[in-house]
Amino acid sequence: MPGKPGPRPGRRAAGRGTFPCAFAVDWTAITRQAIRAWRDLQEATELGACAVAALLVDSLTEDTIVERSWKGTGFDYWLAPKGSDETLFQNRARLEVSGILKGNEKDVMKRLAEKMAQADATHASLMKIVVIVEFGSPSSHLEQR
Amino acid sequence: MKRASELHDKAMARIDHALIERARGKSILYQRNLREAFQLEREAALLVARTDLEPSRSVLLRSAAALAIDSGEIEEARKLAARGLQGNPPPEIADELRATLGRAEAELAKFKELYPTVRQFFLNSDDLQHDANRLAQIAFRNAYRELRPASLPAVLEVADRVARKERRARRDRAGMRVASRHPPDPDVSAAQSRRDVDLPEPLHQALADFPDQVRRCFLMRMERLSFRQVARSLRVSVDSAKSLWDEAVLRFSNLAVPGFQDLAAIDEGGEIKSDTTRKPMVGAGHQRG
Repeated sequence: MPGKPGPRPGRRAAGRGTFPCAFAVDWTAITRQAIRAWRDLQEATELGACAVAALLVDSLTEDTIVERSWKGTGFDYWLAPKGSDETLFQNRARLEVSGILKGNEKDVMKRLAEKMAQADATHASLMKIVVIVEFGSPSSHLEQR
Repeated sequence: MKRASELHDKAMARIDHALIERARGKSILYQRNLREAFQLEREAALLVARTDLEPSRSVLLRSAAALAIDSGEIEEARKLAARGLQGNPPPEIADELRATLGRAEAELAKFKELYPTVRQFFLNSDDLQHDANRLAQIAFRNAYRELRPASLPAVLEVADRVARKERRARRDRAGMRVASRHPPDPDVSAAQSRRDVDLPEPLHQALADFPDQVRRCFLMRMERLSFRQVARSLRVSVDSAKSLWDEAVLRFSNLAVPGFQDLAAIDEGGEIKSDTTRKPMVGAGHQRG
């Protein structure tokens, strides 16, 4: 952020969960226009988490985002094996993403437990990948179910 | 499925546009894009709704129902969510459909509670009472899009805006009808103006020799169109319309056409004053500003 100290590009991040890993978080220069456009930090956190989750899923799993649907508060992302030729939502897995602006490992695990509990409570039949992204450390947790 | 997939892709692209417009603070464009997304997603969902292709069927119906709520189409949201539940949706999508259905039903209950008051608002207007039902529904839909949850004072505030917009639209439509009676063809225009515009015959004769735009401007003003309506009809600026009017008045004055002074007297008596922007000042010119 121009004029303010903050995380620098290239910061190492821990990736936990089904596919433990470490990765570098990098980004292009942030302009004042970008800062003005993303003043809503909740929205910025959610969409930033979606972007990180999309990259993680693509790098760590056989799947990639192939479809979207609308759920009122935002998009619902759907995954399929790379190269899949199914249409719409047939044989897709669902991507559940949650972002935390600044937290610790405990916050990440609590958010993950909430997401996984939701999934279990409904006796879910759809395949699902849950990704929690925390921007303070930064760190992430990807769980495949 | 291919057609449904294409429609769905277009709907999602429309949402992208809507979100960009929202980030720019353009709420009208945001809502327009969202409504278009809803129409496309609804069409896609209804194509797949006839099949038993799960989860595509229920996901599309849930997505269309969510867009219906965002677009203020609450009754449509209820129908789409209910239809989604009629199939065999995966449990988590069924939960989301039930949540959407519950939300739509709660909004419809609120609509039923507030509707009589909002309808009465329009029934109290002499000029809008015949359209009270339609306008009350528009007010609710707009209020829901703009502010959720919508309280009665908020809906009445929106209803007031709807009433003003409806009156403006009616004035414009009336203006276009009058303008269509004064086409550019001088022969047709002259014949029609003799029939429709009550002027002394010497004025009609003199008008036949006026430049087309000047003649049409004068006749439209005689039919009580505002300068803004005349300008829109002639595809000129409001200032140009005022200049055309000035020219017509000047020509009549120079020609000393019999009957023109009587027309001025009529005007001074307040006969020609429908204009919302200014009153025509026949024979005396008018002040700009």
